[in-house]
Amino acid sequence: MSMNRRSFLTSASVATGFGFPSIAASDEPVRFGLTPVFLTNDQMLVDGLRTYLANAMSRPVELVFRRTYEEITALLVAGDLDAAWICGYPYLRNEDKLALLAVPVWNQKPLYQSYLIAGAERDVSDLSQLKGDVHAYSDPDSNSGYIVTQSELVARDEDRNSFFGKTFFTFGHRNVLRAVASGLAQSGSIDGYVWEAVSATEPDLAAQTKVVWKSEWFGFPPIACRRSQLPTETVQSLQTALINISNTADGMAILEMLQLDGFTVGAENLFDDIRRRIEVLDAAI
Amino acid sequence: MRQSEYHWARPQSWPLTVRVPLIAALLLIFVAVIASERVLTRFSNIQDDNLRGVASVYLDSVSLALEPFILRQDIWGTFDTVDRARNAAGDLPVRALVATDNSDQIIAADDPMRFPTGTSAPSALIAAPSIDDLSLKYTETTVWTQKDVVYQGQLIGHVVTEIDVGNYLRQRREALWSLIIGNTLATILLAGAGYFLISRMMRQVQVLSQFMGSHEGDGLEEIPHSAFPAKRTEFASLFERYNKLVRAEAERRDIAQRLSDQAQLVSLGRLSSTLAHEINNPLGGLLNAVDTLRKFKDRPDVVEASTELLYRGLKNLRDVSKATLDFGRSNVQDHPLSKVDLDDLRLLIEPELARKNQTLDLTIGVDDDTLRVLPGAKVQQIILNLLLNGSAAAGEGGGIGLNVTTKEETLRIDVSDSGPGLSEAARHRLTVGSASKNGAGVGLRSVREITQGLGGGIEVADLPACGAKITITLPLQPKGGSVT
Repeated sequence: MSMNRRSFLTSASVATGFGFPSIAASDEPVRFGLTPVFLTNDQMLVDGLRTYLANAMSRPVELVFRRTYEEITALLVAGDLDAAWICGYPYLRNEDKLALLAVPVWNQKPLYQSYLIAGAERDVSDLSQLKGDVHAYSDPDSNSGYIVTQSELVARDEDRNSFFGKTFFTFGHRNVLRAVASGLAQSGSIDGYVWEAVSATEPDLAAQTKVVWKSEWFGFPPIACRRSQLPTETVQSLQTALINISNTADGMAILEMLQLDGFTVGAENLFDDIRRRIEVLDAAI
Repeated sequence: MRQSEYHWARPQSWPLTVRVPLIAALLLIFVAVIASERVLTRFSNIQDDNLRGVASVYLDSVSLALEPFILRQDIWGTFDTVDRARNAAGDLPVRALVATDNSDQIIAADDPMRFPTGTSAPSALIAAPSIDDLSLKYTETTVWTQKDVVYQGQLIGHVVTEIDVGNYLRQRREALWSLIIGNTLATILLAGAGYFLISRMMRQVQVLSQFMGSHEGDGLEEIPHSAFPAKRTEFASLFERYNKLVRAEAERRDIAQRLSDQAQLVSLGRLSSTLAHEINNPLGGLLNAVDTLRKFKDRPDVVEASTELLYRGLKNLRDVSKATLDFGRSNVQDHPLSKVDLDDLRLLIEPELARKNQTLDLTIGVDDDTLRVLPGAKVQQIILNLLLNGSAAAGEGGGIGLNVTTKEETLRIDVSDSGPGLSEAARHRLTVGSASKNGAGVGLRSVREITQGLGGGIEVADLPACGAKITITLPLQPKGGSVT
């Protein structure tokens, strides 16, 4: 999928009429789920996002944090959240209940890769050389931080359970980077977008690691809502706020912190590559 | 005091002015060392307590935070916690923080490169003492200590930490040096002050010692008032008492001398009557000879016989008077002893013996060469006194003996008599000496004092039959006495 920021913003504006929808303000807060898997613990970013969304929707916004994708996905499916920023894998697993609300655009594309990283001093350049490592995964429901590596091992006819000497979950892509940089893990599975973003903001930390292997491109972790809630005003206004985020200075500041270009609606086939990975993995189980 | 008596290698020979302050300084150093050791020990205990307290609080909170992660063997959670706890150690300089499971396998450490996850903990960690047993060692700049992590009464793991104790050790070293420098300065100061004060005090002892040890020849010398301490101190009164002692000693010597002279006069007194008798006896014969000369001046044979009689009588008188004169003069200027002196004794004593119809058994077994080392008058006085005493004891018709011999560089004078023996009082006066009443026994005291003055000895023995024998032994190389 190729869409630059100008084109998707234009289409978003057309789709939603004229800017923000003129809906009556409600005191009921919009509950928006986030996980530390994706976001850093930057309080400025969190505050900025909440303020922006509240202003854009003229409604209070409550940001709900959970440690894992599983917890956030469960809340979303159960209807406790209006929308949540989850990963492509739990989205696909709950495709019948969830609908795409928006997809972040990074480097002009709503796509990202999974990276395998190792200590910068190691002389390795492929997954096969990481055999026996202490390996750090991000989250069992993370595509880039778990599914891709597991399915890659299956695809390479390796025993996905015993290929690494020891594995653990850090429940955060940045934590995978920390684990590998500190030597706690010898290698790790990480979201390529996060590794690149940290390289820009914390070059010293990222420099202690190096990318050993990069996967194919996947649909960027999306913002999803319950399928039944998609037509509601709340969800629609949230979608509009996200799609239009680059129209305001506050929104641009948030995008700058996230190192994203913006958000787009996203096509249904965006996650087909993840779907293929899941199929490979499911076939092995 | 002469410096040549001292030797650096023999501390006993050092002067008191050096030894006493030195001992004081050594005692001060000893006290300083003991005190420093106590202070450092107390300081070390306080530091240990402090370290234990801080480490205990820290590990308590860390182990509490780690408990759920160790329980789940959550590597990331454990790492994240120890990493944050390491940075939140505050004043405690934590060098390493490691969490292990109950089989000492490392779950995670703040520095996974140093302590890799999944490996066995090094022995230093396993052997790390618990906080209660934690104490600092001078040789180690870091210490390990550990705390058990217990969940529902079950040991699930350990949290082990390495603490940098360089700061504690530096404080100890600083305290040690402060004590060493402070105590050294204080000791030097006090030892110097002690040396000064004790030297001043000991100076008086030195003065006393000099005067007491200075007598060469006659008697001790008084300490002049210019050498007295300025203030009225114990030493001033000690000097005063010493001077009194010196004066008393001088008086005693003076009295002894006078006593000796007196004894000589007494001897002469006792002889005077016999001398008169001795002079008087020949005088009758001489007068008869003169009468005969007057009557028979025409008879040459009678004149010759009478003249010869007169000559012998007058010669005898001259010898007696000369011996008496020599004896009287002898206390003024003594002369070397000779056999003539011993022969003179016979002249002096014979009239007394004749008066009492006594016999004298006299044996002189020495020659002049042997005798000349002894003072003539003093030895004469000893023997004459003993002979007079023996004569008095022997009584009418008794006998006395005098035997003078030499034996092993010693002159031996034996005086015996046929009397009833020496009384206890007389024996006491002769050997021990005591103040006599009314001047009685002056002769025997004189014998004792002269004999002792010549470095000789006195023995008194009772003869098997009766009477007494007094033996005087005089060294022929006199030590104590001196010829004057």
